[in-house]
Amino acid sequence: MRTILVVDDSPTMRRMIMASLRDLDVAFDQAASGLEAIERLAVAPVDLVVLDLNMPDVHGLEVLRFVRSHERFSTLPVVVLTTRSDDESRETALREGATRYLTKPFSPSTLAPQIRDLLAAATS
Amino acid sequence: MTGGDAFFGEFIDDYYAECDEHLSTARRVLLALEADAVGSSSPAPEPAQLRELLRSLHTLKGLAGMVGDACAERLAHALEDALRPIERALVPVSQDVVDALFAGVESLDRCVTARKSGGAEPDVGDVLSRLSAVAGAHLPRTDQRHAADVRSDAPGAPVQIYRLTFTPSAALSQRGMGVDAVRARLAALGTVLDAKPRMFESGVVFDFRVECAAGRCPDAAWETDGLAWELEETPQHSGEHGTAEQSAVSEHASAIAARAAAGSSVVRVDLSRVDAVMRLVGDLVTTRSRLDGLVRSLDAAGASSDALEETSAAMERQLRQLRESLVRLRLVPVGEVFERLRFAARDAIRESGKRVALVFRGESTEIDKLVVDRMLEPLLHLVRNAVSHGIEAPDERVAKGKPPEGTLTLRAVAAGDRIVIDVEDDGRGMDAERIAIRARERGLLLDDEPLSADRMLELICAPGFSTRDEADRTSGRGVGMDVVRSTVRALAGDLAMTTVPDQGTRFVIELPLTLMIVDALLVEIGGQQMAVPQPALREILQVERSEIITFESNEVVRYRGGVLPVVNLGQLFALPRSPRDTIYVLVVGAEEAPTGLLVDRLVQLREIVVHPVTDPLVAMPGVGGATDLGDGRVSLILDAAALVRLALERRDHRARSRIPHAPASGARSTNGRHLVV
Repeated sequence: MRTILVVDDSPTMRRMIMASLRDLDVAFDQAASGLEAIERLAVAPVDLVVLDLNMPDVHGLEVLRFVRSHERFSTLPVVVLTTRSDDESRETALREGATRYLTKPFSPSTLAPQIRDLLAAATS
Repeated sequence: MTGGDAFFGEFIDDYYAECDEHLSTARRVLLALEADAVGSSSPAPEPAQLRELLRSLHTLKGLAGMVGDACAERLAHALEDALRPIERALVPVSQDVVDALFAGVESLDRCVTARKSGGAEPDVGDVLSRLSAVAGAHLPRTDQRHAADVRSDAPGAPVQIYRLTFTPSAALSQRGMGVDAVRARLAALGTVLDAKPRMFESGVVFDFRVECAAGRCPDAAWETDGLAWELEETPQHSGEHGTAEQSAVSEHASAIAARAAAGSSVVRVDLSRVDAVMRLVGDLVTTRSRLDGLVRSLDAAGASSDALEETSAAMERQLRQLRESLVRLRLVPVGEVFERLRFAARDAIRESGKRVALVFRGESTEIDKLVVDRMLEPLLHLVRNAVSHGIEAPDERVAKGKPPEGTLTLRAVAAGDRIVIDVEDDGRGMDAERIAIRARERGLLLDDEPLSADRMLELICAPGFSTRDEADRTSGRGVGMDVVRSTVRALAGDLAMTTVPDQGTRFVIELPLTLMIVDALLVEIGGQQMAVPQPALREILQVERSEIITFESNEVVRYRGGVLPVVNLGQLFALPRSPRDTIYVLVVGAEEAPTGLLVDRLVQLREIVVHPVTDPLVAMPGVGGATDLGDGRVSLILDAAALVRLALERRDHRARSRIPHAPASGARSTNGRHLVV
């Protein structure tokens, strides 16, 4: 079973994201901060990351930079899911290596298929 | 906007709970911001605090969007826009700006509350335009940001810096030692200056730099938690490291310190789940005592049962520990409620035009979440009362030789399994003469009766008692002293007061550390009210007294084609028999062997607080505890399971049987009318 790492400092938001993806037949790992996200990535294999940007201490973008600067994560899909809908944030995140840039509020019917496609693409 | 509202409906309670947390963060930071706005000692708001506030609002906005709370989403957004320039410029803000921010947070709270209670959405148009005026105002840009990031408390105090590394592993993470837990630990040691991940072949290492007071050092036991450390060479003084090295420090560093302690090592659990576990533990205690009984009977029969006895005793100890751990799960720091009081007091102080310093002591004292929630309104009342009636206006105080600024102190102290909260002001004290006159007018006090402090408290807590002709705006809101007292009583607490003319008044509230609250049916038996916990009830039947039959020395009623043995509670407790003909049978016990409890009247279904009966003179079989109905009357709580056991023991001596020939007409229905429980 594939594992998705859900990174968001809001526990309610993490649960909403996991509920939206529950039909995908995946396992979840969670992180409540940027540092914890990096820790989870290092200790356990992950197939996809759903990443919030605005978090205490290590910002989502720094996590993204960290991931992209290491060979073993070079193909790991990272979906940024944030409340920031401005073009500047989007461009920065995509430039730093985000695979997709999605905004909150999101609906399960749009989030789940995108994640499914990314997982399928990563396998093939 | 996307249409996930209905889907995310299942998270609405999580949303409300998380909103509470973010709103309390917002209040705390705004109060600090206000202190900066009016005080001259701090030149600019703490950037870490502002970032924390912005993050809270940002998260709240995101969540509000997910659950379709447009009102809260708009306000959070407007607050964010208003705060962003303040965070960038880092200049002191004016009182007007702070007021607009306060108004925004209050409206945001009202939006969330309205949605929760199904009330009408508040009109936020005015607040939104005030906030957008703040957002549009031009603030000068400064470069204070990094300088201000350096903590400036205790300047010159000797400090030392530790370099620590944490190497996470799956094994450590399994026992809860993750990077966030480590960071929380370090934040408690000192200020986390830097936290950086470093990747290598087989994993990751986190490098931390922590500044702490000289002499403090990491606990040696941390070595087993994947931590290693060394002291940085040059000893430094705080405030001196703001140069080249400091600029390399992550700008998030102080936020780490501020936030980490309350970080992700906290799990939010629904209280009802904790209660469910607590009930299971209660059942386990009963099962164990049954086991103990069996062990004793073995003993009596001459069998050697030392090992069994030891095991049973060990189990008792473990159960007690389990129960104590569960009780601790329910505890929260009382500071949480103090923060909300500070917020409310601020309004009362501004309205009254008085000068009042609020002092909090013992904020970290822990108390049951339920007790805290219920005490909020009464404490608010005491605080508002002290501000509007207790503390004098500055000129009046000066004339009395007091400092112009009054002091209102809230203190919390734990004392065994009780917690004492007191609210003390240094104001004018209670006007005994006025209270006496008013009480005599109302016939509550005899002409020659002296007015002790206790009596005075009793009088001011009488419903509708007020020495004011018209309650003024501030203290007139919400609840009165009568509600303060009944709330404290219903929580199994005590309220006391001392007052000295011109020196002030002190209310002392003593509360139990934790409570068990259940839904119970209040019933009347022989003129006495008693409570039966609702989970014990299977069914309620209405019967005529004449339908109770004596069958093989047992009292029974016909029930589901057979008979139901009943326990006459009036008789059991030796209470006078009621003259009623129509009475009720509460069906309790296991499905295969139900028992009926006879009661005279059903009073109401309500929540009660369970107080264990510890006095051996009062304790009796069949009584599980007592509850205060809030009006000073005490009611016994019946332990249905114990009553059933009593009934079974009595029946064990007699043959249990069914009526041999059940009447044909009653084969499928009962003779009584069913009531829904």
